Amino acid sequence: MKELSAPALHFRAAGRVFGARSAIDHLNLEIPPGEFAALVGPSGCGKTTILNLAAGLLAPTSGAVESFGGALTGLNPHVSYLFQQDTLLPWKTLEDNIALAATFSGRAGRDEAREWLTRLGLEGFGDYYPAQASGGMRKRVALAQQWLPRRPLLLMDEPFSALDIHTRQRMETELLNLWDSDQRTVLFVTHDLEEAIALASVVYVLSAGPGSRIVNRYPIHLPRPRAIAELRLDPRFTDLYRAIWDDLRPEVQRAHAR
Amino acid sequence: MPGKHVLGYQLGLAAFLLALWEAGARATWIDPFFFSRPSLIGARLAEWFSTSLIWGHLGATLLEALLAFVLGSAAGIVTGFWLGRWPLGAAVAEPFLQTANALPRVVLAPLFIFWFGLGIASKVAFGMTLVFFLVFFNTYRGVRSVERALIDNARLLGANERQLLRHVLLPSALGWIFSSLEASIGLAMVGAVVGEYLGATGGLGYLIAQAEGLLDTTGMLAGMALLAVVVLLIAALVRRAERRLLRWQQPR
Repeated sequence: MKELSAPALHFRAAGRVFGARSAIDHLNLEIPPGEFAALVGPSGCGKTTILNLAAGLLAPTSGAVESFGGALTGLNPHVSYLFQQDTLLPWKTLEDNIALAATFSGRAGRDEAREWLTRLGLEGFGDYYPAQASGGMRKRVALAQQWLPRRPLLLMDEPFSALDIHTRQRMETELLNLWDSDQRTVLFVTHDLEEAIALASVVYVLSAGPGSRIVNRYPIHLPRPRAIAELRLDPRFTDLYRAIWDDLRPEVQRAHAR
Repeated sequence: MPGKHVLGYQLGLAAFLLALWEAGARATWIDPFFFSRPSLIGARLAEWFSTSLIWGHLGATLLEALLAFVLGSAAGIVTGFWLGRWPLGAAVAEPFLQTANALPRVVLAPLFIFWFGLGIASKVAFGMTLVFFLVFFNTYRGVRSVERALIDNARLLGANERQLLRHVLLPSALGWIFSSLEASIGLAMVGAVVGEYLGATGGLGYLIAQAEGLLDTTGMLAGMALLAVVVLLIAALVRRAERRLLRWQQPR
C-alpha cells in the first residue's frame, strides 16, 4: 500500500485508446514524492488523459498506473484534482465550497474555510455564490477547495489558462507559496512553457498525439522562492526556455500539421 | 424593465373587461342566461361564503389536489433520480413511459372512479397520473444534465453516492423540478376537479357539475372563478419557495 519512498505517480507503459484513436501509448513516467512536475505539450496530445488516468477517472487500456506503491483500481484516494473548467458548486457559497471535502468527511470545516478566505484575501466574500464572484476569486476558492483535504498529490489541468495575465501571475505566486510551505507532489499540465518553467522543479515534454509519449525531462534548478513576474527576465530562465523549446517546437508543428 | 405601473394597468384592464361584461349583459347585448354577470357571480360567491358549506367543498378539492401533488411529485422525483442514475433501467423503461404519457389521461378518470370509488382515492390517483409524468421528465432531464466535471470533482473530494445526491444532483435538478412544480399544481387541481366533475359527493368540481345540471351559469362561473383564485394563490406560494431555494441563481 502507501509507502513514503514509492513514487507519487508511476505510469508503467500505460496506454489509453478511445475507440480507434490512441490518446497515449506506452507512457513511462515516474514522479517522486515532493516533486513539482510540469507536463507541457501541444494541444490534443493527451495531457488531460494523463491526469484522468492519474486520478483514476479513467482506466488504462494497456500497462498500469500506480500511486504511492499501489496499482489504481477506481478513484485514486491520494489526489486532489483542479480541473480546467469551473467545478465550484454554483448552489454553495464560496465558504461552503472551500469546506466541501470536510463536509463529505462529516466535519463542518467552517473555521478552516474562514481561515482560507482570509489567507486568499477573500474575507467578507464567504457568503457570495460563485456566480457573484469574479473569475480570479473562483479560481482561488477552487485552489483552496483542492488544497484543504491535504492529499499528498495535486493534479492541475491548465488551471489558470482562462485568467488575465495579472490574475494569473497572482495565482501562480499563490500556488508557489502554498507549495513552498507544504511540499506536496504536484502534476501541473499546461501548454504554456513559460508557466511550466516558472513553477516546476521538473518539466516533461510530451510528443504530439496520437499515441503521445514523453520526449524529454528537464530539471529546473532555479532558486526558490521564485518571483514569478521578474523570473522571466533571468538569463537562466531564458536559457532553459530555449533548450526546452527546441524539443517542443517540432511537436507543436506536428500537432498543427495534422 | 417594464416599470412600476404594470400592476395598475393590469388592474385597470381587469376592471375594464368586467365592466364591459356587466354592461353588455345588462344591456342584453349578450344573453345573461348563457353568460351571467360579474355582479351576480360576485353575489353568488358572497352567498357561498356566508354559509359554511363552501368550505367543505373547497377543503375536499384542496385535499385531493394536495395529495395528488405531493404523492405525484414524490414519485416523479424519486423515479427521475433513479432512472437518471441508472442508464440501463432508463433505456428499458423508456417505451413504457412514453406510451403511458402519450395516453390522454382524461379517459382514465372514469376508470379510476370505477376502481377506487366516488371518494377521495379516485381523484388523488387521477391527479397523480397527471403530476407524475411532468415532474418525472423534468427531474430526469435535470439529473442527466449535471456537468460531468462537477460529479467527478465531488467524488474525488470524497463524496459517497448519498452525498453526491444531496450536494450535487438534487440541487442541480432543483431548477428543473421547480420549473415543473408550478404547472403540476395546476394539473393536480385539474385532476381533483375533473374527478369530482365525473362522480363525487363533494368538492368544487361537484359544485360546478351540479350547477350545470340546473343550467345555472352563475353557479358554474362562480365555481370557476373560485378555482382560478385558489390556483393563483398556491402558485404564488411556490414561486416564493423557489426564490428562496434557488437564491444562488440570482445576482447580488
